[in-house]
Amino acid sequence: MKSIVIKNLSALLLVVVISAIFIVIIQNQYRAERSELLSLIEDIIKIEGFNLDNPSHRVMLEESLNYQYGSSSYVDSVLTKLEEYRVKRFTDPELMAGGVKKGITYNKLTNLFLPFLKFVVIFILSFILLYYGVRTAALFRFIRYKQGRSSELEYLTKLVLSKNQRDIKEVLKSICFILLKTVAYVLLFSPAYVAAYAVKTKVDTGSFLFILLLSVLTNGALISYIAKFFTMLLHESRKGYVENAIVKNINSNYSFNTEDGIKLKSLFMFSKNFQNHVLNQIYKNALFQYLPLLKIQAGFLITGLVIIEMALNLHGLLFYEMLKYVLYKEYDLVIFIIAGVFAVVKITETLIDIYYEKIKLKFENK
Amino acid sequence: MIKIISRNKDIFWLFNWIAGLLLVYLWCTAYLNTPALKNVVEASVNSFQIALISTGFSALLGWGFSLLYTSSQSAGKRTLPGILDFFVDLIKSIPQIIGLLIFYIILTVLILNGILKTSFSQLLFMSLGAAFFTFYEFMSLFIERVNYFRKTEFFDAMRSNGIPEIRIVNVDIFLKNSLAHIVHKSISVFGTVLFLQCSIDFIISVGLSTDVSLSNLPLSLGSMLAKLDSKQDILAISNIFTNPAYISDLLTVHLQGISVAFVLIYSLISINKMTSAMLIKKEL
Repeated sequence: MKSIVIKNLSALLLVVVISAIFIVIIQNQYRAERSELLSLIEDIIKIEGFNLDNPSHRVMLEESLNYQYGSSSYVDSVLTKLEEYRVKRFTDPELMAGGVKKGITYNKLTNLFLPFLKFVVIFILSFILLYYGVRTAALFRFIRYKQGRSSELEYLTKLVLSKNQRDIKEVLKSICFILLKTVAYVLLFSPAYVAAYAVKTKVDTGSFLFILLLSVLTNGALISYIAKFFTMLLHESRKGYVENAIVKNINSNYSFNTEDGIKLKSLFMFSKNFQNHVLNQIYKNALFQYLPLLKIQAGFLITGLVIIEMALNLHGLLFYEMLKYVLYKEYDLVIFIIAGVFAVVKITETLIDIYYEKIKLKFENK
Repeated sequence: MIKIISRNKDIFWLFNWIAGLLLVYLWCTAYLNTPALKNVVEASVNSFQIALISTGFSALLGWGFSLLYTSSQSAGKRTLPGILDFFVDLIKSIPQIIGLLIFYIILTVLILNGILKTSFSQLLFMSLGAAFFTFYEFMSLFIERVNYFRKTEFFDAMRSNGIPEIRIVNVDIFLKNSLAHIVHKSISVFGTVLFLQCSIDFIISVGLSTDVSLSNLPLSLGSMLAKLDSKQDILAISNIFTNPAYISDLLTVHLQGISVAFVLIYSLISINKMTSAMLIKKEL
């Protein structure tokens, strides 16, 4: 346990140190750029009444400089720096009207606190939702697989081709199910920005709930991990102990809500328990193998959140702010945010590792 | 042939994918204007190309690092595997999209300084970026396979026959006994890269295109989706909630955005289905 914490903390420390070094380098670069830019033109821009945006003022200045110094490279550099300064007043946050100091400042850090908090809250909630969704949906798929209903399309074909009198209601039900499944597949696999743009005129895409749903349902987050957990359940169900348990009369009927079957209520509970059913052991063993994957799931979830916040330009959220700083070339703040996100990932990983080790001890009867 | 396809779900989905893409192309030739069609085709080809090259880079990096890891492990060294473990863990903890964003910032700087001039060199750089954040998937697979065979008598028996370890690992473990695993991982990484690369292109195109004009970067499905007319096409989808008959307009009038979104989503579905089917069929 100690080694896990030390390993994760040292990785975090390394990233913090590297980030700090880069931040210092970038801030020194800002200062050097600023003093280089202003060294030649500081006196000129301070001239009372001189308007840099006025073309006639600029021409007058050029003529005065030429008169004083002749057509020299010095005059060229002054004019170039003035032009650079003129442009930067529109692009450089520090030089813009009412501009703020470029790079990390106390004010900017306090302004980042709320977006960071929102990010952590959304991340935690979506992580919990995803964890629940993956287990429930994978178990549902596994139970249906065990019931012998692997493909709805095959079932529909059988229904349509059956020689007995066709049950129209059943056929319609099957068609509706297939259509719903298709729509669900499209939603689950679509990148968040496609799904959000598709409903943008009908739904408030900036709402907390919408972001939460988008992060869980789109970008393939839910569906990929359902597939992974389902495979683990399948692997477990093929192991010898399952047959042993069945021989010892443990329930193995996969029908829903029958006496020896599976209670739907247990399937939808957060903490799942299928008492006296072989699925209970299959599920617990598969879950034990799935726990390390939660670390990758956390990273993938954050990737999804970054995509949502950046692609939908959601003001006031962390990654929109980060995008803004990339645009303003305030890379020290970008590094600061990345280090913060890395810390969240590392803390999550440490917690998962600790939980996994605890469960492992139980599994190994230690 | 039909029997093979219907029995093997992975091959069935591969054919489905290709057929779906062909169908979209044929539909687009009928309803989409020629310049837009050219852009859709170019964007699709570029995206698949980047994903493919990136998967190759990723496999190579994973293979190289796994060899380094396993050979130093078998030589009884603990420092190098420890360092590799530490750094791979570090890379794993950086959300892939943030890693790619950093790569794109570097790409912008390289383009502005005239270092990456041709679109192929930019494409290679983008692929390398994606590979850097996915190679550990291959590395874990290769290490897992070697460790699995090391536990069996197979490994020791071959060693006692005088076969060098490097040959056992590369030929007998990877080539002869892990090909299905490698193909499965390659398809899965291909899907991941396709998704990540399109997403980062979309983000860059929407918010970061002030220094480098979009026309400088190779066109991709993500940057196509970020175009104003494509976005309007996607926005039009919500009309079918109030007017289901509008679907015919979506498939004819708003075809550019819809076809790009379809190519991307359908590819992701097909790739996922292929990997799932392979997992079950080959019991990986």
